[in-house]
Amino acid sequence: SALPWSLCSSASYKKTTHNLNSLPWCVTEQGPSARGGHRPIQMENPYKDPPKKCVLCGINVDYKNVQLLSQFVSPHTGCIYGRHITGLCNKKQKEVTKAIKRAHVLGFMPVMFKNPSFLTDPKICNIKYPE
Amino acid sequence: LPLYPLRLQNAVLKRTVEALMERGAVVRNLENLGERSLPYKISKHNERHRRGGYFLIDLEGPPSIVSTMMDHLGRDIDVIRRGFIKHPVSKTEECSGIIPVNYQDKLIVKKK
Repeated sequence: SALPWSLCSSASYKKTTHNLNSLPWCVTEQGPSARGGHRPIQMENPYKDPPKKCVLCGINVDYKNVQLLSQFVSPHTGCIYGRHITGLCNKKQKEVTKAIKRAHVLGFMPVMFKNPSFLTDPKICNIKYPE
Repeated sequence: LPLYPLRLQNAVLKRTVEALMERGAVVRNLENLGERSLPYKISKHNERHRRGGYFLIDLEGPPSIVSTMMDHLGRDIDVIRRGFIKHPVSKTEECSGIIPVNYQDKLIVKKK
């Protein structure tokens, strides 16, 4: 007896390929589909914080205003604080150092100590003194 | 300037400004920053000074003036300390803040 599958031609056993777009449960990857959603657009993070500014950002540093310069100097020794203490950006730290050195030379600012009238100024640098 | 009387201070200023004009400098502005006690005792011309008057002269001129004027002011007994400074060009409008630096990238040596 002939088996039912042997008598048929081989062509009929080829799998019929369905058109993917026609099937309702398949999600398409091209453009706006029937549901109305778009692919995410590449853009810069809109919730990014603006770059942090240091204390002197936007302030002009002058060798003449000794009060401002004295805030970055130790009251005991008169030495200039480093970047890790003052928290200033590269440019401003360099400007302050140059201005302090200039003020020393020209006789505006004392070298070995801080001017006593400026000792009660608000603290900018995060330095801890030993008690 | 250690001298207390105003007339003598004026005389010194007049001398210096005339010397500058002689050498071909144009004096734009003359500011008096006040008379105050010096930050440290300065000894000059066989005298120990504690108080002085500060003056700022705004001028425009050829760079050859600097050395001759420093010489001239050095010989003046009424001048304690002299100095020439270029006009500061303020660039504070471009300050954009601290840009975070990627230290890891800097550490890894980039192959040429």
